[in-house]
Amino acid sequence: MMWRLGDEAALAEAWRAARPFPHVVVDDAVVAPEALLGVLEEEPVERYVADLYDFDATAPEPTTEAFRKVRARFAGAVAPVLARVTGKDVARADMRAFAYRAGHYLLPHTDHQVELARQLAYAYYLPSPEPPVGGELDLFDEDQRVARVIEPRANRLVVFDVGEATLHQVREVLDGMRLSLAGWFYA
Amino acid sequence: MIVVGDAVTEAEAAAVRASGGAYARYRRIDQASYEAAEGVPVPEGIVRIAREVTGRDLRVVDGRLLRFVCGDYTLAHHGYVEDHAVELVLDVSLAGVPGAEVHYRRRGRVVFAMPSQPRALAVVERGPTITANHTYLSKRLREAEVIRLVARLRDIVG
Repeated sequence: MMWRLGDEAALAEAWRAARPFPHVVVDDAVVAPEALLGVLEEEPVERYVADLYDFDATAPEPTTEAFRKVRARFAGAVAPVLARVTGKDVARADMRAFAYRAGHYLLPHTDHQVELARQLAYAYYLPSPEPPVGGELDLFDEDQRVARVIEPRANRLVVFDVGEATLHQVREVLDGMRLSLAGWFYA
Repeated sequence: MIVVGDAVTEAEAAAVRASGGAYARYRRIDQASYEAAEGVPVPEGIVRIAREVTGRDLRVVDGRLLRFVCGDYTLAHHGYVEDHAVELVLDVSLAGVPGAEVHYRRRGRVVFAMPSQPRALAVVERGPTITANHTYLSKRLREAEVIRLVARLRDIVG
């Protein structure tokens, strides 16, 4: 499958101008996204629950060769572009698949932990057999108010900065299922 | 850690709800989202239960009413307790709410859960290795309301 991010100059400008913190939204990011769903069917999924979240997801590391290839192709295609667009030194990415069903959520947090050295965060929304109600990605400003709401539209890629002030959440899914690939880019 | 059912009567629970006065909303969303009424009297009956359960000679340090509606929660790093206080959580809600619990964790793992059970009392010996969170209240439960009296007790010294 082929990743396409569009015009780099436009992306770079969007990154610089984005509020409340740097991010870009790319629609139609993959040619034939339905092919990804077949790869994910082989990955074991478990429920993950903590004070901050409740969702279903694959393991932190892919267990199948096919999913590892998806991750590698994604990083290979997207990281160099993002390095130029964001000015950040990124080369590799991790990747998990997530399924947020009714009642699932991810409460406000920043992703920033110095020891983990995350540079950028991303979420790619897969086509869902049960399109979700809810599940929006909220980006908060410095006053902790929602400043940008990003719909989990199928075949949309969102990339955003990771830092002390990059507060965001996934709103509770009220119905349907929100499917995504998500993770972080590293140097 | 223990949960005592029917720790107060319905009349006592109503009295606790009424004793709170005005609530103020806490909304540092990277910590928690809820309403709180501070300086709430703690019924002597539940203090007595705490003394019996723990075997400790305890006095009330403070009491507050926490009110949760749909979308509210507290995270584990909110309200960190450094000392070995005893925490009482008295559920004075009008009705039970599915999934609305208080979780106590040690090294991130839930070691004790207080269910949503009106008039139940949780007695928990806290410490720096124990964190607590009030679980997220689903927005699918639009009319749900959870009210808990949270009290801290310490040993009487001298």
